[in-house]
Amino acid sequence: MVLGEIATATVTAVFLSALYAIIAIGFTLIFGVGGILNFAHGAFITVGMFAAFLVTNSNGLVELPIWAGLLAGTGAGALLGAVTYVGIVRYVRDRPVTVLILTFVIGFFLIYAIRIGASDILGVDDPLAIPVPQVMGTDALNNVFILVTSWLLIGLLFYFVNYTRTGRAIIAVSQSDKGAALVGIDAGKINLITWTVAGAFAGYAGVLLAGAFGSGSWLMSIQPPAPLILSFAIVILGGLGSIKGSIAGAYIIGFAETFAVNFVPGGQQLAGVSSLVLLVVFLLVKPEGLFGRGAAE
Amino acid sequence: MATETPLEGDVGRRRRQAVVEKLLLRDLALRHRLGILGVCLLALVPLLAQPRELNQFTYVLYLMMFAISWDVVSGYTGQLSFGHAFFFALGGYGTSVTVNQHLLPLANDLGLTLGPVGTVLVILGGIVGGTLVAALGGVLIGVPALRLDGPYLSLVTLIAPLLLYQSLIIFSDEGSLPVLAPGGLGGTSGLLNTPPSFVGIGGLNTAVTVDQQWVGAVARYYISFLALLIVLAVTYGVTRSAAGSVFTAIREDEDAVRSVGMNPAKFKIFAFVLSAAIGGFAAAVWMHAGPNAAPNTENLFGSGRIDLSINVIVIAIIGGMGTIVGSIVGALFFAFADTVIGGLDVAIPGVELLFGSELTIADTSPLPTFLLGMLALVFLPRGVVPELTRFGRRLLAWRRGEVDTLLGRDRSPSTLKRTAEKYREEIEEIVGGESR
Repeated sequence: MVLGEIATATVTAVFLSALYAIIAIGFTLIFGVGGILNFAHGAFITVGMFAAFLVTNSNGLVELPIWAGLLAGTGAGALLGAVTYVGIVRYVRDRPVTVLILTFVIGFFLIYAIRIGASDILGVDDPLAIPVPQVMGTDALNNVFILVTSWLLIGLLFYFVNYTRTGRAIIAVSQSDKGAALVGIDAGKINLITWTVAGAFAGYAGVLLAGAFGSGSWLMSIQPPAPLILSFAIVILGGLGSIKGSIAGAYIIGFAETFAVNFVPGGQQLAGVSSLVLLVVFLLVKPEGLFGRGAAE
Repeated sequence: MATETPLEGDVGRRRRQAVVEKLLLRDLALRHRLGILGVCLLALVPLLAQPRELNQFTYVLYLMMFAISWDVVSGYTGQLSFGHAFFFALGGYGTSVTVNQHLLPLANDLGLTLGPVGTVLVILGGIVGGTLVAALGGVLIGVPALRLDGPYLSLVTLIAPLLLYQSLIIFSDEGSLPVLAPGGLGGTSGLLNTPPSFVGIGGLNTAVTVDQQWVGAVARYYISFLALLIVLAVTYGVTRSAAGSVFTAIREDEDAVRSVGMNPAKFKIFAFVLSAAIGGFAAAVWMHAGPNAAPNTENLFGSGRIDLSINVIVIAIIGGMGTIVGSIVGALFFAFADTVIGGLDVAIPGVELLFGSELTIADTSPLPTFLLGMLALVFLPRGVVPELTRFGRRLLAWRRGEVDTLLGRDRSPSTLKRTAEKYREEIEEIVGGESR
C-alpha cells in the first residue's frame, strides 16, 4: 500500500521535475554566459504563456490548435529575450546593480502589461486564470509529452553547446570574455544568441506550465510554483552556470516537493513553499551548490 | 597646548560643540537651508488642500517613509532589497495584532475602561510592538545577508514577503496561531477588525473623537508628519554619523572596510534592523493614523503582492539612492506622476480599432511609473537630488565666474585632477579659507 503510494509519487515527481528543468535552463544559460541573474525570467515565462493564449483562445487574436500556441509561446519568448538584450541589457552590462534592478523592474512591467492586456483589452474575466489548454488530450499523455520534449530539448542543447562552433564559442565566453575576444569571438553576438535561446526555453516552459496547472496567471512568476524563484532555487542548488547542475537541481526540488506534499502531514499547504524553504536552507548551508561556481564567499 | 589627538582632552565637550556648529542655521550650506525650507513647506500643506486631497497627500508621507526605509539599507550599504514590503507588513500586522488581540482584550480582562489617554497609550504600545516585530524581521533577513552577496541576498529578500503572504493564508483562522495571534491573521483579505485610530469621527474605535471631517484629516496629517520627522531625525543622525560612512564604505568595497579592522557583518545587520524598524514603524503608524488604514495585503504588499516593494525602489531611484532626501523628493514626484496619469482619461488611439475595447492612459497604471523608474535608472542613475545639487553648485560657480558655461559637461575630470582638488578642499577646510 505504502509502496504503491511511493511509486505514484515517484512518477509524479519525475514528470514535475522534467517541467522544472525546462523552466530553469534559460535562467542558467544567461547566468552562465553573461554573469547576469535575470530577474525578468519569470516574466519571459509569463509572456510565453500569454502568447499561447493569444493564438489559441476565442478571447485572443485567433483560435488555433495548441501546437500553434506552443510555437507562438516559444517564438515570443525568443523574441523577447533578444529584444531585452539588444534594447536594454547591452547598454548597462557593466553596471551590475543597475542590471539587477532593471531586470527586476522590466519583469514586473511586463507582467503588469499582461494583466492590463488580458483584463482591460481582451476582456478575460480573471487575469489570475488565463485559459491555456494542455498540449495532449489527457493528463497522462501530457505528462509524457513534457517528459519526452524536456529530455529532447536538453539533449539538443547539450549537442549545440558541446559540438557546434557557436556552442563552443558560448562556452568560451562563459569562461572568459577576454580570452574569447582574443580568439576572435564576438561576445555581443554570443550573448544575443544566449538570450534568444534562453527566452525560447522560457516561453516554451510557460506554455507547458500553464497547461499542466490548468491555466496561466499574470502573477504566475511568483505564485506557487513561482517559476522565477524556482529557477533561482534550482540553479543555486545545482551550482551556478552549470547546465548539468540545474538539471540535477530540478530533479532534487521536484522530488523534494512532491514527497513533502504527499507524505508530510498537512503537506498540501507546502506546495510551492517547500522549494523556497529548501532554497533558503541551501543558501545558508551550502551556498556553492552541488556543481559549479559559488554563490557566496 | 599644542595639538590634541582626537581622543585627548574633553572629548564630550568638543563633540557637542561640533554638533552645535553643524546645526547653526547661519552657517548651513544652501542645499541644507533649502531642505529645511522644504520640510516647512510640507508642514504647511494642510493650509492649501481640501480634506480629500489631504488624505491622498497623507499617504505620500508614508510612501516617503517607506522609501527612506529602503534607502537606509539598499541605498547606503548596497544590499539591494526586492521585498521591503516584508517589513511594512510585519509592522502593520504587528501593531494591529498587538492592539486588537493582546492589549485591548487584556484591558478588558482587567476591567479597565479606556479613556482617550488610555487608548492612545494602547496605540503607542501597538506601534512599539509593530516596530519590534519588524526589527526582528530585519535580523531574520540580516543574518543571511552576512553570507550572501548581492543578487542572492536580493533573492532572499524577494522570497521573504512571498513566504509571509503564504503564512498569512496558513494562519488565517482564529486559533491557528496560538499565543502570538490568538485571533488569526485573516488571510488575504486582512484583519477585519481595524485597529483603533488616533483621531476619527465618532465610533468606539478612536482615541479622540472630533465632529468634523476636515479636523480629523488635518490631525491625521500632522500625526503622520510627526512620524516622518522622527524617521528623518533617526536616519539623518545615523547616516551622517560615522556609522553612515561605514555603510557607504560597505557598498563601495567590503574588503576595504575589513582591512581597517571593522566588521562589516555588524554594520550590515545594524543597517537591516534599522531599515526594518523604520519601515515597520511607518506602517504601524499608518494603521492608526493613515488614510484607508486597514491591515490587509492590498495595503501592505500592494495589489499584486509585490507592487509596494517595487514602488518604493522606483521612488528611491528617481530621487537618488543613498541620500534620504531623495526618497522625499522621489515620493512627491512619484505621487504627482501617479495622480496626473490617473487623471488622464484619454483613450490610447488605435487600441479600440484593433481590439474593439477602449483603453485609457489611466488604465495602464502602474506601467508609466515603472517606466519612469527604468528611464531614471538608465539615464539618471544618480537620481534627481544629487543631479540638482550638482547643477546648483555649478550655477553658483558660474555666478562667481569660475566656470564658463552652465550646461557644459565636466563629466570626467582626470583622476589626478580630482585628487588634487580633494586635497585643496581639505586643506582649505583645515585652514578655514573658504566657507562652503
